[in-house]
Amino acid sequence: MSDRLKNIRNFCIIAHIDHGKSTLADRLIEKSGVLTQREMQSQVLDNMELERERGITIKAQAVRLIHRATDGEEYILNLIDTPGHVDFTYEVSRSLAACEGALLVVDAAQGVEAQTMANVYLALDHDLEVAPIINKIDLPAADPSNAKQEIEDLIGLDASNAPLISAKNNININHVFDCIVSSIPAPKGDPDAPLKALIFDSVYDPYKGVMVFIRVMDGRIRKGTHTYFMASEKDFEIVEVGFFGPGKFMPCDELASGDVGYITASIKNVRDTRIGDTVTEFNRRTEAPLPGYKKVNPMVYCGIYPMDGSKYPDLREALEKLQLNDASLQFDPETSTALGFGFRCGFLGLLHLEIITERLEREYNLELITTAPSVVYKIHMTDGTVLNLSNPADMPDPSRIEHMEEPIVKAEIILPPDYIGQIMELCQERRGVYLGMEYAEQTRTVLHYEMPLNEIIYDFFDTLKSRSRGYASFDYDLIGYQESKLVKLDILVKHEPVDALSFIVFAGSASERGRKIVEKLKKEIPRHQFEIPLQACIGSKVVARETLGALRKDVLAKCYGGDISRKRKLLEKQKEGKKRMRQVGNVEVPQAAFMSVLKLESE
Amino acid sequence: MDQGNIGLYIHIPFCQAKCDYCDFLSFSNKQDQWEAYINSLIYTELPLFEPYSPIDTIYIGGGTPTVLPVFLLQKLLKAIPSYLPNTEITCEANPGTLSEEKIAALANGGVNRISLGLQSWQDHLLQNIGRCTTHGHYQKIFEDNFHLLRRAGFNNINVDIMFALPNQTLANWEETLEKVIDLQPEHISAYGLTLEEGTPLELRLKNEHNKYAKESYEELNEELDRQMYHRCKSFLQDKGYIQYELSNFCKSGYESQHNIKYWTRKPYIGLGLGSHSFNGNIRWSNTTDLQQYLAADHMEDIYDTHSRYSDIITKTDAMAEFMFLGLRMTKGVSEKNFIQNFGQSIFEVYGSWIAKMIDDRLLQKHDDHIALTNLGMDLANQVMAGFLQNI
Repeated sequence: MSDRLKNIRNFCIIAHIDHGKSTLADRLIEKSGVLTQREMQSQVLDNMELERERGITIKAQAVRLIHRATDGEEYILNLIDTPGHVDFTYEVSRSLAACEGALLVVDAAQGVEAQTMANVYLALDHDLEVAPIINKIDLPAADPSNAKQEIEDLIGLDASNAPLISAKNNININHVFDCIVSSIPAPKGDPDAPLKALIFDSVYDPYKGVMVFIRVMDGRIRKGTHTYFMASEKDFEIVEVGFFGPGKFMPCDELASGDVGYITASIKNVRDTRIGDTVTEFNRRTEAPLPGYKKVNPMVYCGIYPMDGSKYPDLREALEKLQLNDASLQFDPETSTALGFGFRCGFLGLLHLEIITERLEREYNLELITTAPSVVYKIHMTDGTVLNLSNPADMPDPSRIEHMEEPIVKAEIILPPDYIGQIMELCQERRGVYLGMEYAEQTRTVLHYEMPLNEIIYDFFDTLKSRSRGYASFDYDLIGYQESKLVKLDILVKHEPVDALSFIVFAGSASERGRKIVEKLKKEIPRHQFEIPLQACIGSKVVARETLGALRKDVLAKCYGGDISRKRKLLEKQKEGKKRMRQVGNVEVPQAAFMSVLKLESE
Repeated sequence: MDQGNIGLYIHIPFCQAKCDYCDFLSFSNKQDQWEAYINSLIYTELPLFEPYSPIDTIYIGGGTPTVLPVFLLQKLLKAIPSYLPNTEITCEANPGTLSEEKIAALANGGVNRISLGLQSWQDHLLQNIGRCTTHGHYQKIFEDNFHLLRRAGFNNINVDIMFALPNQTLANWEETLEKVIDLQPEHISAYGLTLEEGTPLELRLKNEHNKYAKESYEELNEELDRQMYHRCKSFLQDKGYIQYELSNFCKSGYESQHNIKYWTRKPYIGLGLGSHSFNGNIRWSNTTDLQQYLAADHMEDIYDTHSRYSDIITKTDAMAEFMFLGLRMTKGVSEKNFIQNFGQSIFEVYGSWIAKMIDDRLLQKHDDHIALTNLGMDLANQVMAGFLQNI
């Protein structure tokens, strides 16, 4: 192995939310001496405001650290940050593929959590060397030996030499550097072979175009290299190559095998730089692309509408901007009779959906109405064709449907044994098929279920949390499609179907769900001068019905002693309420009603 | 804008006991401050008041002004500034607070209209809402007070009655109406109970029912409430009373001139704690803090500088007020009047809303006037909210 490669380490950090991944990353950056403490933002890796608030990392980013070991050797340590949620499993897997090893950070008080395990298995699947680190040893509740034991029992890793640290309070960070150098293998690769580099992320820069984050496996890449992106089948001439300095990009002459860095090539569209794609030389191509590339498809769809219809162009612009950095976000214009102009958006999962809607509201100041999320159903038509359905409004006439399939996930729920009964009941209500249970230790049980994804996107997290008093954690993985008896449930307000409230549901749950929705709508819709029947229907069959009585009285008896302001304020409030209404036939439906049906159990 | 003569309102914020539904500014346990209050009103606030137009209506309200002893009533009435001949001077009173001596003091002080708060003929319904009663003698006391007033020469008496009270039946309400009619008052105000937030009655119903007490109570009682209201309208009409406002009925020529000022945006000045004033352009109000009021010796101390002091009414506001106040009157608002006041046609400003409301049968048009229909009177807020500017 060349001297150059011998002194490179490419690694990532695996941790459960809150176990201290970002804090440790900060500490490593600070200790590597590239930045003074004063220059440090508190968490350099997490750029986005939102990430910091939610305590999670959304987009993978990387940083190059220079470490001078006690023996005088200088090491290049490339830390590749990974997103920490199941929605981004594929992105995580590509980041892992760029590394030789991973630090597993475990909270000394909390021990190993469901999500940690999922990511460790992912790392082990990629043949990464996993080195455990026990963090937060200075907490009063810290139990490092128990944490080590859990790592050995639950994951099967040797944790005997795991550094015991506190990233927050700067305890034993040196041990982490030693551990990286000693436990994680140096990269291999031939700098003279044809170029072979893995794309593990990209960001859009308004001046440079798409900046593509790569790990070079073989060969070299420099300014002027004529490259070929094997999956997207695009070729680009490289304009700039560089490293990831802490918080900034640092151009350099060349990236060679073993290196982690970025390239730019005046690429306009983030879709041309697909995560997992292989970059090679146009005229000297590598024999085969790197394994593991997958085109990512959204799993969850919903309609997003601006509350104020005139903000539609703003919403489009905001989505376009977000998409620049997020190739997995999809959107297409759609029209709803109830909600007007909006977009049908596709997401990797529920968290992804939540993050995008929150960013739209927060960073772009938009007020939104989102419709009930839907998964992608496969509809087998009687004529033999198969339709992928992500919008209930597009559901074909049932007479033309041979059968339907829905996505199934494998779910893993970790919880204290006290709640097993409640949570098994919940899984059963959600059509879960029980696969098994493990008692990991006295205080923790792992439940395995197979479950339709459409049961999970409907208020599952909140219900899980409330029924387990917040103790249960949950993880899922798509395993395939399964035939199922599904129907489209329409909601009618005064005999007018409200397209934004339609959804596809398991036939056996349809009337129950319909009943809850009409009950909820009855509370949300203000009374009108006429009676309003609220119905849930499958085709022409009414499965649930409520009637909202007519408003008979809305009048102030008295104007108190000339206090006109009071009267005016009351009327203003009434008028303000009206502004937030959507017209369905001659019924005014508050915007809140569209959202309220998304959470039917949480009260 | 023609501002016309001024109405004068005087607030007496004291009662024998505060009713459970009441959220008016009134105190039940401040006898020791009555005199200081009247003194502040007469010696501090009145001298600050400079009538820029003649006064032609006066209304002494509360609270219960007639809880005051004779000497304080006399002192107050004597201090009232000069007013035009034939000025309507109303004083509110509750059954049981009137004696022959007090009635004489009122009459001698110029009061020529009395508003008696009967509320309900049935003692048990009044006890339900915590209204101070006299344990079985209430009906007799009311009738006695009424006859005393007549004997003293009062020929313009209003009786306040309430419907939609907890546990009130339609029969209870009809009995109240009949008993009142037997006495032939010139004026009747019939109010539906409004469950105001934070009042003891609202809190009690909240405990008895659930957290949505206000909505559920009013919704549950809505049907009965409207039955009572409609019954009241037809009953009083049969007995020769004219409905001239949403809650007000009278024999021909006995409309409350003072209250009409509120609904037609005429100027009025309020004196006393928490009272409201309007000079045609600005609305303002006095402090609601009794101690501050009593200690005041400057105008600034009396006015409520925190909230609504200097609420300048823009033209848009004024047009909205013209509509939502004017529509309280059964004859409605006049197109001609609107143009005179604002230099614009009512249809130019509100045409589409008026058309929609006529379409929904909530408004009707008669020659120069636009008025609520009977249905519109039940749903007046729905109509009125539409006249507010787009907020």
